[in-house]
Amino acid sequence: MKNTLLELKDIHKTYFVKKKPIKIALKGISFSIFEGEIFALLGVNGAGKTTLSGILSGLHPPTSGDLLWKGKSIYKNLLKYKASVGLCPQKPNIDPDLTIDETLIFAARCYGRGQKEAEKQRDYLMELFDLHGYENAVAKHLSGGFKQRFLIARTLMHDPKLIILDEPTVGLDAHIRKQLWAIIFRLKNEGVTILLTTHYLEEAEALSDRVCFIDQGEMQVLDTPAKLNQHYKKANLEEVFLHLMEEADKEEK
Amino acid sequence: MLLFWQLMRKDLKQFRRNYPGRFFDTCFLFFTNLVVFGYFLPELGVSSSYGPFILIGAIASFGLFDIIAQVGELIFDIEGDRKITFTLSMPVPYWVVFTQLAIKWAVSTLLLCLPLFLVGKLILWKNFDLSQIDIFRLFVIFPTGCLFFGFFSLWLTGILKKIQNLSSLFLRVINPLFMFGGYFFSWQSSFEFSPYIGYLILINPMIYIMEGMRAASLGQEGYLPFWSCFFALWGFILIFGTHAIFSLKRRLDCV
Repeated sequence: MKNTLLELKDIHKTYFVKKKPIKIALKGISFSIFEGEIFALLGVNGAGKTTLSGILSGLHPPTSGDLLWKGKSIYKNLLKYKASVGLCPQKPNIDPDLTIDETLIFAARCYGRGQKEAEKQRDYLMELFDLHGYENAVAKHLSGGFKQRFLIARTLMHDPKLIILDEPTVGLDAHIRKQLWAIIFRLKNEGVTILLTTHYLEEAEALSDRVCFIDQGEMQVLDTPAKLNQHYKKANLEEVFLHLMEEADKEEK
Repeated sequence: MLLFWQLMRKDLKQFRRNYPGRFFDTCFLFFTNLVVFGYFLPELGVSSSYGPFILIGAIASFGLFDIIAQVGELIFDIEGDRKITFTLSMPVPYWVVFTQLAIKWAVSTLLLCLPLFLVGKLILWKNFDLSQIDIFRLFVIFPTGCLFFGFFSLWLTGILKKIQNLSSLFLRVINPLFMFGGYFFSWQSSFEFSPYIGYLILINPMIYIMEGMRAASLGQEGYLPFWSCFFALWGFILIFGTHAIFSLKRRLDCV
């Protein structure tokens, strides 16, 4: 029996300008994320993935609906929930003038970790992400791949129960993407629950236990990659995805 | 509180690295002002006491010009990489994050401007008497003025739509506040010129920073009552601060 870590109940998100709705980004999303799984959110650009990950990380409020963390609404104690979650955003939002070492220690200390505990976690993550030798490198001078690894390491400094990786491999070359996949697998093996948003279907297929397709703010399907391939009689997720998009286009017409 | 302190430590660490360059720029601006007002204008018949008057005004108003950089930095971040998202994702209420930003700006303005009293003394020498400074009053009004600039920057960030509007910000907000804020004249002289103008100028928060700083540094005579300036500034801090926090919350769509 899998334990539910996070449950989304009918999440809606509408953006307003001067109290007038200008965009409905999410139209009643409901699903559960189980402890220790890699859950992928898939969809084309503008489908609502980043909006949803913003809500899941506690950054933005839903217009309606609720998020339950181990059965309790996160909004009853949002700060406690935020302490259990790590968000790795799409854009590398790093303090450019701080060194890797300073940033990692700062990230842990902000979550109440002591200096020694923070140093221990830093050493462990530097090893895991192969960042040794870059302790004193200033973040702005890192290459794309290093920056992304460093960003994930920063997300893990407070040892979160759930990490949200928003398009972690976008813009990276194939070699570095594969390196990051290995890291994501290793995190899963260590018991971390991962929510991955991506539009690389090959990546979702290789990494995820379950995938959820979102289109125009609505959930289309949710299952394991293997079951989806089997159900739609397709060879891989990319073909399933294309099939679903065609169906959606037909319905729209 | 712990998180607030960690954020301050991190920001001050970055500030310390950039301090020499920024302090040089500040001194350069300060020097050009003091040489003109302290030496050139007295040669043209302006009173020699105008030098110290401008010296305090320059120290007090530096934060106003720093607003452009602060607002620009935050809007650039909001429209770009969103470093602020990392802080907002931490277990801390959004209002603490915004308040910390304002306090960080206030502290950096304070640390840049405090040594200017000594630089000013070196430039004006005999014309500026350091013994006139009421240290207690200065240490009350100066941080208050810097805090006002910090929260005012935050408020402007909340209401400014895009980074392209920064030049309008200077022309429409910063410059009028500066010109009518008592940098070149005391409130009393504006009141003597026209009581209506005098009363109108009282809606400009800059006048309380200028008058309060001059009352603390050059003596109370000829300036608005010191404690009135202090409380008026706190009123402005509360008004701009509260509105800034709400408008930034709306802009960044925080929970």
